[in-house]
Amino acid sequence: MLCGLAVGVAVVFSVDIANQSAKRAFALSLDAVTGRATHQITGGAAGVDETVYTRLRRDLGVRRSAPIVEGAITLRGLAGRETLQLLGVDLFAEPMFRTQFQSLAPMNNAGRSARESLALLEFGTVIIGNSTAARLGLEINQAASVNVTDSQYDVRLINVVDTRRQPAFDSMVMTDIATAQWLLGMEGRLSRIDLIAEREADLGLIRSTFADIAITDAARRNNALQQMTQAFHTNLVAMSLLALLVGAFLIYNTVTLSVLQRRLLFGQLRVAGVDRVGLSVAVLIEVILFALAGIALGLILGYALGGLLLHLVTRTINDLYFTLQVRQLDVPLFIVIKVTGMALFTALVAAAVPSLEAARSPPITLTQRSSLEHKTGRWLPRLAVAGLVGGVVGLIVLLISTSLLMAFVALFLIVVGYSLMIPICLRWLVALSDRLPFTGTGATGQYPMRSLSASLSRMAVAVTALAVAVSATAGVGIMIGSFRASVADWLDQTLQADVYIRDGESLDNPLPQEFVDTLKGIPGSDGMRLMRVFDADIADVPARVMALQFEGDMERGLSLLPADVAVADQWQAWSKGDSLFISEPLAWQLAAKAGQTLPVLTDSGVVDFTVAGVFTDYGAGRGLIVMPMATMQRHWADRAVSSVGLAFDSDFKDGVARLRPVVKRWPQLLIRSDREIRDLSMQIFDQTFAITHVLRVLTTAVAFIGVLCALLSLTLERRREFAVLRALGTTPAELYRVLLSQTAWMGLVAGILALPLGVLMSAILVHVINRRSFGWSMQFSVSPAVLWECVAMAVIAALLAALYPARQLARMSPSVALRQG
Amino acid sequence: MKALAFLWCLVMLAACDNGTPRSDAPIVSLHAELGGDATGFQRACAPVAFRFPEDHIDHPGFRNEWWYITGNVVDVDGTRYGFHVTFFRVATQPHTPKQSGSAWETSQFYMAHFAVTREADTAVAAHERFSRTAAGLAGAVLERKLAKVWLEDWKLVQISSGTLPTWELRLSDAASGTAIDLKLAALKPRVLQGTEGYSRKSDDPCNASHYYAYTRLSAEGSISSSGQTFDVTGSAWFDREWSSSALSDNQVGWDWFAMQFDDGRELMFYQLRQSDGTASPYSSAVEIGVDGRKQAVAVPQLEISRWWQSSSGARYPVEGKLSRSDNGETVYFSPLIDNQELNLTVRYWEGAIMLTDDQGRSVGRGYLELTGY
Repeated sequence: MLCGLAVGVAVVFSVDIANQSAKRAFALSLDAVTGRATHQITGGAAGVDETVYTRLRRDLGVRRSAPIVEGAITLRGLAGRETLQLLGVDLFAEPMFRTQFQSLAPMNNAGRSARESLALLEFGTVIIGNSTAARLGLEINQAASVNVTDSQYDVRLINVVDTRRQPAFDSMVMTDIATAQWLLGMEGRLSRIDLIAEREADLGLIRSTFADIAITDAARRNNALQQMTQAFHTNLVAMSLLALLVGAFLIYNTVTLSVLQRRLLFGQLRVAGVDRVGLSVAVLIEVILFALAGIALGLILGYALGGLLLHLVTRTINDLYFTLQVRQLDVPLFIVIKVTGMALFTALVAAAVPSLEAARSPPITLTQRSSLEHKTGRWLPRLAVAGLVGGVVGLIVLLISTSLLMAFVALFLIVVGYSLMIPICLRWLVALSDRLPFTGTGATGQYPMRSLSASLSRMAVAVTALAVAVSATAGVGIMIGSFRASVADWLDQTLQADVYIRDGESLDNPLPQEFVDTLKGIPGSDGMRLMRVFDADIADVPARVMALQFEGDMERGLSLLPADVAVADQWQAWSKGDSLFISEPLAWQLAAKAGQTLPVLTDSGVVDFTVAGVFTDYGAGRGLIVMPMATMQRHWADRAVSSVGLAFDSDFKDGVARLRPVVKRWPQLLIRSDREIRDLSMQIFDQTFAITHVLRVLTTAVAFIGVLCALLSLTLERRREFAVLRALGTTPAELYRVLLSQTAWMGLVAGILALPLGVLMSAILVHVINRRSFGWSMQFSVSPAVLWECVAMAVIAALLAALYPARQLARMSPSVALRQG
Repeated sequence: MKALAFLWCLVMLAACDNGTPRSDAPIVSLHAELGGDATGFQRACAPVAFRFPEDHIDHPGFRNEWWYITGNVVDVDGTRYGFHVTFFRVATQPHTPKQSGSAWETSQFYMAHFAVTREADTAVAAHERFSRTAAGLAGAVLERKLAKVWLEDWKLVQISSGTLPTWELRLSDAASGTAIDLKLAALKPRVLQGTEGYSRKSDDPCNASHYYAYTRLSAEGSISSSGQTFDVTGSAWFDREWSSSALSDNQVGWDWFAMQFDDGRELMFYQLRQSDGTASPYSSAVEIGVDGRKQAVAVPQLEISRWWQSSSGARYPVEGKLSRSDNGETVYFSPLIDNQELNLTVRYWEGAIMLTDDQGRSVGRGYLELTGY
């Protein structure tokens, strides 16, 4: 009971705290960057003209405004280098914006010498977190170097901030706005201007003065950023709850067993005069004490596990969404209380049923095992009906709801409903296999099946737990398989060129124009795809603009979702006017369809674009907007190229050979073949799902422990029965076989019963949950291998769990066992 | 002279703005922190010939500089007001050539204080702003040979030149409904304080400033208080001072009087207080006659008759009398209202005062600055 509860609690707790830590780190960094701003003035790819800020302050008297210049840099010290977010601020404008900087602002300085704060005005100085300084081996007043793209700059560290008090500094470099412009090559431009405006009317003056700027709602924007990861976190929580569900079966199983085992004792107690209430209370107190011990153990285990999961969660977020450094495991009290409460509740419910039953029964029946099995038998159809109803309700919820949360509710209803039907199926299967010809043969004859049906009340719960765990494994396995196949197809479709060239540091960095021109004349190239990538807001949602230009014989490489209009017509529409394609996740996020118009923030103000089509994309971060290069250049003052794809008439090796002398002049460029990109993408894909695999394994581990516990108690209880068998002449080996064949059968049943649920679960994951979480649509494909694996896994888990109890039984001395019994 | 203390404090905020009387602050360590402060800056060590209009705007080679204006005005109902505006320029380090193309790169910033006192109010309305001297946010420039000093939309703009120049002073704080919009016209030519505008503050000849003043200007325009706007008239006082170091180690604060008498004379008097409680020998008094002529006079005897304690705990000598030994004149001063403490980044008392003779008759108005309390 202890171990089952502990593992169940550990899984839920670890996922919860890992999620919480990642979210908190993100919120902190968001808060550090956005602060108390209610709105932001943003420009196009190049940012905002800095004179807008001067005019805001000087001519319009808009005081609640602060300029920001930010970007990614690599900071290098003696002990290493790290890519960090550079935040360039004007400390004189900061106090009302970012609480973290208040102690740094010269006019808000109480504890520290203002001279120290004003030092940031000195050109080329930076402030970082003390933890960052320690990691990089930097000390105050020491020189450090900053790398941006292929340039290196010397800066001086003038101060460190205690990251325990201001955790946002953990992945941030703060500097003066002038230094930031210099480092990022943004002279004359600002990344954005933060505003605090209580009323929309306050913004009217700004809007009317500056025609070509856009004011976005900071809360909405941050929300959109947070939403990106929300679905991911929700999925993790759902997985952990699945583990708890399995854990709950386990708890129920172990608690029930501990009560059942002592029916005789309870009967004797009742005969001796203990009343019903007294007995129930005694049992419940015992359960609570055990549960608390299990929970405490689980929390400790979960904390250890949380560290590992946090690493995986952070890695996934970094792969999919944005740079996030999370180094601290955050354990808020409410999570401890929540998990404890949930586990305690489950344990009590699990204990209540058998203990009440035991208390209610006349003392005499308590001493008879057959009466219990008889009762259990009567309950099975009722449970099954309840399960069926639950499952049907779940399906209905699934069909009529649109939210992610309801999809999870439905999924749980279906899982619970299905699991309630497992015991009756088990009984039918026992009855059925009893009649099968081969079960009656062999040394032990029909004994294994019959004895199993006699102890159905104990084994049903263990089998159910195993089945649910296996179905979860199957469901998630099928989902990942389907997803992987879809992504692979999509990559094949997307990667039409043979060679891709981009800046080695970041896609945001433009390729040298001279290089692009050189490529145009390269011999042997069939076609070329030029791409420019930058960030822009679409309908206040941060997105990424991809401007494409195809030259020569080049496949387009976007797979459009089926629409009313033919694909060729969609491309036709796309190439003309202010049209664009949007990625499926973005379409899902904006609830946008082809034909609709969407406001996009360009360099020349907000422009309404028509959605010509929606294309498949499995990116989880920012949604994508794709438009022709010519369209982009009409609205943005950007003539750069971020990446070039080249198709060669010959094979790739030849292409690289041709490119090598050209690329040699620009060492910062990165050449990759389509194969390399494909492999890398699949590697990231697999990495992303590492955490899902871990949770699968954990769920199965919970179930495994469940079966083990069930078998252990069963063997204890059946010692006398087996002793009789031994006394009658059964050899230990035969006994061993009996037990193993029983458990193998149980595993097989659990595995087979798990399959329909697994397939159903994966269908829900693929078609409902992933769509509602990320907006991804994918093909559903069930590979038989996954199904076989699951059945095999169930059988092996059951057999492994049986090994130890079977050995114990086979080794016991019949005479001792008989005497004790 | 006066405003220097703020800059001192500004650079040493921790010591000044901690709610305890400044005299408790470790003065020596302040100077230690300033250590070698003036190195690399231009210094005021001897008189220089002023050049106008150039000297109306900033002197970036010096560490500190200010444009200081106070005034006493009345509205049509006879309600009395005082106003005070100072634009401070501070260099955090000696000027160096720019190292980047960023318009934000600078080692200088402006701080402005703006306060309005209305006699019916219980407290002064004081506001403060900071801005770097870059990207057009704050600065001092000549536009068609006329000076303009601004910090965002707070500005002092010269509108005519000559011996008696005129200025426009416009500041507002939208949130509190405080504003001034005044035209200031010099009624007397500028006065070069100290020796030809070289004002020495301690034994070190380079602990000094360049200092000139317009001791009487007419003020006309409007003042807004708590969102209500009143047409006002009266007179103002305009000080210009720049330096790189002006104080010695043992000076803890000062009491500074700018007095305009109804008979047309002005008296400027400051008393530097030393850490031992005595007045520094570099305290000084100057009288400007009706004809605008400057005359150094013996430092008057200051007697305090009433102290006022602010909610911050500081006690200020807000009422008392000044006795001149040279002509036997005795002037009694009392505040327009008691609470004229500017509780800004640097906390000090800067308030309108009324001047009376020993009969209690009004003889003039003025401004008093009390620092280091």
